[in-house]
Amino acid sequence: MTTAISTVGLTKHYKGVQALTDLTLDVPAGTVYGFLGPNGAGKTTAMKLIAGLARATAGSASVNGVPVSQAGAHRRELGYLAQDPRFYGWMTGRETLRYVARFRGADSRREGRISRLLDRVGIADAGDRRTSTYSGGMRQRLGIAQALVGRPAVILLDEPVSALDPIGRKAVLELMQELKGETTVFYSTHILDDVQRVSDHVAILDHGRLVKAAPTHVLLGSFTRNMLRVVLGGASTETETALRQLTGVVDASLVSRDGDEWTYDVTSSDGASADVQAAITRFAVDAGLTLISNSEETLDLETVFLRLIDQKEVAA
Amino acid sequence: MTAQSAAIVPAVAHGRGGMFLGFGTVFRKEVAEWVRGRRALIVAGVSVSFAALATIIPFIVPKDSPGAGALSMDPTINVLSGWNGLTFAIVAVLATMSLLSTERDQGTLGWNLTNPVSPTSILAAKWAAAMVVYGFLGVFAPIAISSAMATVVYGGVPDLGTVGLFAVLYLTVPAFYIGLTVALGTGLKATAGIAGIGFLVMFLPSGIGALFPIINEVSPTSIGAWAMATATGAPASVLTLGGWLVSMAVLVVGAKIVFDRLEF
Repeated sequence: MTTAISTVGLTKHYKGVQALTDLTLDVPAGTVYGFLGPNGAGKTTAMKLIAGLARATAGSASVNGVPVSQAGAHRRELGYLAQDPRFYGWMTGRETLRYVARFRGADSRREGRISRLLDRVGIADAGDRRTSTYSGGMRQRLGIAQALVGRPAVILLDEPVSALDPIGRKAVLELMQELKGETTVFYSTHILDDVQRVSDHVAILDHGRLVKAAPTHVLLGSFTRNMLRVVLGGASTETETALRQLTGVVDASLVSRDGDEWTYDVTSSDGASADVQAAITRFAVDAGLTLISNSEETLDLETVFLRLIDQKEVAA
Repeated sequence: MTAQSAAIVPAVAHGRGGMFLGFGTVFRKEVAEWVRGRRALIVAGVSVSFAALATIIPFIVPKDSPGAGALSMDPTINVLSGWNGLTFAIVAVLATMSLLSTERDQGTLGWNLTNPVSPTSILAAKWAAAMVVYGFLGVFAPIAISSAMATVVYGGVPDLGTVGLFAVLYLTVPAFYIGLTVALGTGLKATAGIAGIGFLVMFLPSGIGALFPIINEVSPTSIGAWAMATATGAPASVLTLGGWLVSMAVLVVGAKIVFDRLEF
């Protein structure tokens, strides 16, 4: 696995505020990596440190193997979209992209690529208008295009969909999915639904500290491992005890009751999930119950996120 | 957004860059911004008007007015007469006082630094572009136009060697004041503050110099007088040139230190 972004002990202290503490993170190349956290968690600070817009109090970072430094050489590897992107109002969208592209050297195919990018982010019609006439959403789209125009190995997007309407948000998320494999997308957001839809990896930050970093499916499974959600029709108060006595079951508890439907969480021992599912099916048949559902429990990212944050706060 | 895709492949590294990484791109942008905005027009308008007016004053002053007899009708002297004061230095400060502060306000300075460009390149490009524009529109164009007017009005061509040498040497004046406003812009966000300190630097040494003449001699603000003296063959102190060189070095080093410490 090649690493697109690497940070080691990255720390940032502002006057009276510890914005980021000891962030050590490896972002695999070619992935869409979601950087999650509540407001004020330190996401923007971390991104600015990686872009070289702020200096770390301690620690280091590299982009595509190039150390982040004041001199700016690492920015050859990087496209960056700020949370509130600003451009020269006297330039058109097309001129803005041309300006950014020139930093990467001469390229005879530049103009064609600029036109395609304007089209790709949905502002082709406004490409020859001054950016001072752009709405917030259009600036955000232009910001994404300018981050991509230099064909960087890594793009950093700080809250890329925060200023967009639902249609724009959907379009940008689709674009991010299209970029998978082409370039590494490292983006911050607090919209958990989006992360679950497009990210291969997730890192969760809270109060400036990394809470968890893992592939999305691993993170989502981390709280539901060995957990089954069982819904039985015609159950009774004795059913819970009966479920606990099945082979391989560690615990069973009633979650809810809706009329005749009783819902249970059943925890199996490691590696016994399939056997427990089969045992539950047999139990339902033998007890004359209607088996409505017997599947591995899946949590959404929001639930996982809140549990991780809660755990951290309890531990603190 | 369409499904059409723009090919994105990892960028090819174009060398490692150095202190002047991205200079050319920022320089071209700066020149374009000067030319497309109103600043260049204002610099040209004010400078040409003032230089032309100063050149033809002896011609338009009524011959019977007091002191009219003392006015020279020499075209060279009249072309250079407007350049003794601080008008062009004031124009340089006013035209460049917001070069950095506006960008800091608007957030475009931080955006620039997300591209492969060094902080040094941004400062150097801003100074160099302002020098090119101001040099042509604020120095060479007014001198060329007032020379042409003097030829017509006074019936003789000015000494082009003297006038040309002065024009080149006078570039030291905008070089200092533009350097000063750019350097101040690295530390000050307020445009008014930059202008205020710029004018203080412009006028304070001459005030102190009235008490201690050596101050006038070594002050970089005397570089215009030094250019005039050198071009016309009058005595010119090498200390003035030395003071200017030291001041420029201080501005460059100071601006770089402060700008490198900025965070966005």
